[in-house]
Amino acid sequence: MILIFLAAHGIGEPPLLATQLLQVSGVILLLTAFATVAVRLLTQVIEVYALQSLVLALIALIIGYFTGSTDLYLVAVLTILVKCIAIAWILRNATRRLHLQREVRPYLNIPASLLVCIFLTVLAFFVSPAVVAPGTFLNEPPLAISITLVLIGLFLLSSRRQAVMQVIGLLTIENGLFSGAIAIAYGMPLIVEFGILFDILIAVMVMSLLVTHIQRELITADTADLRRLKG
Amino acid sequence: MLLVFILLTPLLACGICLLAPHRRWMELTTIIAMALVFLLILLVTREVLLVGHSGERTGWLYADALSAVTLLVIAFVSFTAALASVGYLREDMREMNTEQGQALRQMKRYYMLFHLFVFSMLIVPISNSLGVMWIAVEGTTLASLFLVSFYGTGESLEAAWKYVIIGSVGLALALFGTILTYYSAVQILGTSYDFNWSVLAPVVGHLNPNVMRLALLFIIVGYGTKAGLAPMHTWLPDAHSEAPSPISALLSGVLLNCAMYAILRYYALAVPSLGHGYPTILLLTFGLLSLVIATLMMFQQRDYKRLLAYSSIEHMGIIALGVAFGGPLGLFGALLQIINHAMTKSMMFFASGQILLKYKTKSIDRVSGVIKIMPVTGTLLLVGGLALTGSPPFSVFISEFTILSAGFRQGYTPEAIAMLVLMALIFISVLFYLNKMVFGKVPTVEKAGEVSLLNIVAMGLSAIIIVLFGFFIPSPLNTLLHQAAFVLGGR
Repeated sequence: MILIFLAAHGIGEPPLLATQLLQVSGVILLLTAFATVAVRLLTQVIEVYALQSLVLALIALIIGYFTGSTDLYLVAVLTILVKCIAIAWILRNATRRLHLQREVRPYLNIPASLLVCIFLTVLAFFVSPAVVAPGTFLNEPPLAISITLVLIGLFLLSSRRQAVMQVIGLLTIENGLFSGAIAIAYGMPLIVEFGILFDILIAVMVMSLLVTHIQRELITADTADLRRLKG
Repeated sequence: MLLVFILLTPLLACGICLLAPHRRWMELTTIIAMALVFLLILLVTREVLLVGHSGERTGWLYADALSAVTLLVIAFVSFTAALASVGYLREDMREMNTEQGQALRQMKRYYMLFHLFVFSMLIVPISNSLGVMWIAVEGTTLASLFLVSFYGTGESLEAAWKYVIIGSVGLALALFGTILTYYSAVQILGTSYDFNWSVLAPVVGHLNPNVMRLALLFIIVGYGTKAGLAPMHTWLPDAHSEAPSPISALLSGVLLNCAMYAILRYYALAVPSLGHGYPTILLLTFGLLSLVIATLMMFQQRDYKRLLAYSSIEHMGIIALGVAFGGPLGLFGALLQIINHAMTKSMMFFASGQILLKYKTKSIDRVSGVIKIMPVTGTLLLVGGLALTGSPPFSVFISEFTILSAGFRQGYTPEAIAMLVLMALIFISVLFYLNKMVFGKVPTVEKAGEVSLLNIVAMGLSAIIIVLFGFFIPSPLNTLLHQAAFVLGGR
């Protein structure tokens, strides 16, 4: 069954070089996810996010090259344009407008956060074999890294009070899903990928505008101060 | 072609509102555009009834009976919400000079976002692509975000922030479900295929069940967040209570149903490969949990808009239960419940807008004697409250009764009894609060008289449907609902 599937799509055994390149970039991706948790200043987190997106674009390029899919080249270029350039620029601007509050403001301190992230990574490697079905070009590690990214994103979202940090958490989740889509299915159809990127761009614009409003009205961008609505 | 026009109308209206120099232009554009959308959707429904579908099977836009049901709900509530918006905003901004400056800009923003919101919701049921549907649902969050925070107060900004963060996390999970669904058919259709409902439909029995099992879980949790299923519902009461009332009506009457539509579609997609057992357990769990949480929160509610918001969570739970009970009867009941809830809840939110404008408070304790001060609003509020809690002879009674009898017939006796008990408890708490608000002591300071005539018209239109559907369901609609239940797999 597996062989028929592979033969039908002309994939064959994955070339050794491709596997190695992907493993290396997967590790870098994992490291950037840890870095978003480890750094202290908002501006640094944004740069780390831009780097993470760049690695993601590289992964799309590598898989595009070895599977001969031109769609993935386009996706890579757009990822760089939208995520590394536009979104990073919008977030930097929003941070500049926030003046004083540039720290990450964790509920949980950084060493403890990193410990949690190691636990999440182990968890992801543990569950990913259950997800992946046989018959795909790539095996478990890339998907495990995607799931790690999603989990770390969720962790950032729940453990950081700074509003911009929560946006970064969302974006990390999305990067994880994006790499997962490439890893298990060589990405979604092109138009869907474009739509998703466009959606994210608008979402970041809208959210940073909302953060500005919150900052102006409540003189804080600390989500711990948002607790008036209950019940 | 019709489907393209349906999407173009709100976009065009948004453009006109951008350029409109006067308040009246925007109001007129909004009402005419929504009336036009309503008309076009009626035409689409006719086509679906005659031919079975509208649009090309291979194209981007495609509507079948299930889409038509959702479209009808969107059309009706958007139209009444357009009427109510004009009435509500006129009254709300009475003290401001809305012909220029800040107030005009604010009003312009409202109407433009209103059209974008309706536009993104219209894409959901007629998109043939599963990916585009996800993009549209995410689009609804972004379009409605600044409508929720329209007043710019601390509370409304907090509600908007919760809404966008919780909604986006939910939709990220739904995206994962979408990707997994794509992956579940890779072994049959190859690594790049058109990700459309119509492409998946013929191979629906051969999807990889292991992957589909996981995908359905993520889809129900993800889209369930937008649909307000507990325990992912936490954004809902905040957003519904802080938004201007016509927007609350749109959120509750249409947006939740759009997300529910996505869940229904995936349910129909997953059942052939997974069997009934697993999807039923998921829907039963989330449905009952929503009912329990809504009941608990409604008993101790101090804010009437939040009360209505929790009632939406209750009804989404009932719809999920209807689908879980299944069979032609359960699915028919669930679809009818979608329509009835949308009509009733939007009317209740319009009424809450009237009360808010009159009493300037959202607190239940500070509102009393509505029927003396605003006779029409008071009467309709009472009718809506009775209908909402499932009292005969109103429409919601029929659909809830259908769902309950489906539950007993399909052998879900304990679940159906639990649903009945929780509904009875909600009946008690809603009527207790409504009784206090509608009758009660007439406050001395309030001047008598209705607030806005257009709001009354919007409520009246909904009320006619609520009463009418309590006695009989028009036969074309009946046929449409049966066809839609068939699409969902109730044969």
